[in-house]
Amino acid sequence: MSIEDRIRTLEEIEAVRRVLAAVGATCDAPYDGAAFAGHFTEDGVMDLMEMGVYTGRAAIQEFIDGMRARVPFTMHYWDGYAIDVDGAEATATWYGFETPNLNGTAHLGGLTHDATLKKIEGCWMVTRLGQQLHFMTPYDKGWVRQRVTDQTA
Amino acid sequence: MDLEERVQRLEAIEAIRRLKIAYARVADDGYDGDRISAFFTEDAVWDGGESFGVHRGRAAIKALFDGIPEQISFALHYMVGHTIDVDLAAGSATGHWYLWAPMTINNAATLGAITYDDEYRNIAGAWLASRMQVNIHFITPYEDGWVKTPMLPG
Repeated sequence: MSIEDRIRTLEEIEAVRRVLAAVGATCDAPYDGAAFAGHFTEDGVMDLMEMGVYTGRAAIQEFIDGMRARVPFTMHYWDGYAIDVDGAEATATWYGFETPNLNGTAHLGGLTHDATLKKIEGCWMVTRLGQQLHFMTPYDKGWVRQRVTDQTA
Repeated sequence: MDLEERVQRLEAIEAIRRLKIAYARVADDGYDGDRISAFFTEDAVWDGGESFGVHRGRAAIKALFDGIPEQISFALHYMVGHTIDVDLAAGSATGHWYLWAPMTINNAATLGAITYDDEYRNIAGAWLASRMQVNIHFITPYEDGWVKTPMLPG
């Protein structure tokens, strides 16, 4: 690989990291569904497993904007990225720690995430975002007493 | 430093970051001793201090991690806030990391606050950990908190 290609790989890893950080920030309260969905391709998929699969920017935006009513507050602490870039395609995994207000109760969430991205017209766009929920527990209980609070109710 | 060296340094930092995240992922996935010990040099030291002991060499590190699931049935290793310094000429590097670890220890929710002081060596083009010094700031029962019980008994 030429030195130019090696530098480009490092730059692209950093660019993907920046895009994913922006995705995380736009799904913090007060939520910006348009900005969040704007990081996805038109046919992008957000697979939240038990919380549903949302296909296309419009469906993704609607879900995120709907968070305002369902989850009045949360923050997404995303880090621990492992990013692989291959030309105009990339994959990423990372960790998420969340602090939502669910049903009027403080919660702590432990998640891992994965994504695939494509570089389109100079911008990295998410083609698929997935999550694995390890716990979403009321703050006063902890993940052994109550591992997951139902977020679909 | 010429361009080649500058690029090598950035590539090394990224490779070491990936090494540590891979270590975290395998730990989350049940602490498989074979997989975890492969991240270390043959003569590596995993230094857990008074709480977890000092384990020298890949075989000892494998044995340590193979035994962990008896007590820790769940953990998420949030590795954050790292700084990595690379000495290309020496083929070595150091790293400092913060770890925030929600765990289930002996069937009780537990929170761990840990920092690492790591040393790495480049062995045949691959960066491996040659030393992990594990600094434990608290490992507390979730329901107690770190003021009441900074360290889990035993």
